[in-house]
Amino acid sequence: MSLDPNTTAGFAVIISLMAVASYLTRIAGFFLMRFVVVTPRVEAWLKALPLAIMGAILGPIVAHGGPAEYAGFAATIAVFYWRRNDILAAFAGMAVVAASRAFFAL
Amino acid sequence: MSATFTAAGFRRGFLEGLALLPGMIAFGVVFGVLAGQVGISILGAASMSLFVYAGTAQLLALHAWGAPDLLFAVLVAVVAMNARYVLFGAAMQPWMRGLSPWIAYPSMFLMVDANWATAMQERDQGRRDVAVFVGVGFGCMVGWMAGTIAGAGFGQWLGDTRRLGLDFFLPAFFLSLACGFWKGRGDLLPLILGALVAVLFERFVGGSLHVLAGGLAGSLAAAFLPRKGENSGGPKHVA
Repeated sequence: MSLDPNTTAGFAVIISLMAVASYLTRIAGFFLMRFVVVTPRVEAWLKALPLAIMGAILGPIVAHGGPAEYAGFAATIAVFYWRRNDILAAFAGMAVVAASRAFFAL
Repeated sequence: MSATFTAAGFRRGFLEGLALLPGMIAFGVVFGVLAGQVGISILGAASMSLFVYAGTAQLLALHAWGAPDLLFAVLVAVVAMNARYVLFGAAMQPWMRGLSPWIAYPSMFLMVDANWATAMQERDQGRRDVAVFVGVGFGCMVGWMAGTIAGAGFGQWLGDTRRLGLDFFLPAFFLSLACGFWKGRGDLLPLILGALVAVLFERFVGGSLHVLAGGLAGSLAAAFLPRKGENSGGPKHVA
């Protein structure tokens, strides 16, 4: 099935399905916890999931990145551990990437 | 004692949520601008922010906009990014026990990183007013919507957003989240394996499944591979 997001109907279908999927992830754990026995294995898996997903997102970006992006990542980490604020750290990384691209024409 | 839901709690939560306004607006602006770049209207961007209400998932979905497998790709983006909410929800359930499902399930719609953290703090302090959690969620929603609309509205005058580094916001935000999740060297395995599998998957398989593949590989390996000090006959290490 292919949907054209540039038509009102296509866009509405896409948004609706995204909204349903998003809400399901919010209630899935909440609902299932009534039945699931959280064994140490399950707990270890749940604990490792967020970082594994972050790694999976960042891996290809790092692989495709250049000096500007690496400088941006370094700035992000530095600002995160300095202020413990994830949005602020992201903006710092963004600023460093923008500056690197401007000055070194990367 | 079961969980409660009071007007005073909502007020307290909402005011707490307003303190997060600058960050939420800024995040919303980034999404709004990038949504405009791929041809989404202001109304479209606003409705996505209102109904999906998941910044990271929405930003990742924009990457897939225009791809041939668009619907599949955006749904994978939502599930992959919101996977952490499944865990958040699992942690919320015991705290919300005793609350009517008619209040509990709508409340969960507003769960984001910020108010989940609030709920966990309330829990640790022995408080169980779920309205505080909902109030923070509302405060965040206000900023998120304002930012989205402003970004989608003014984005067209920004010109080349790559020059501004806007494409780097999401990677940088994820890196910050990863730093926040980082607890120690034991986390290296899921992170590195997740990254490696995703890189290989992206290169040799393509499509939009690399996040899911890497995420599952990294987390399952961490759960099932024996680690130092676990199931080993050797001397126990006490950190």
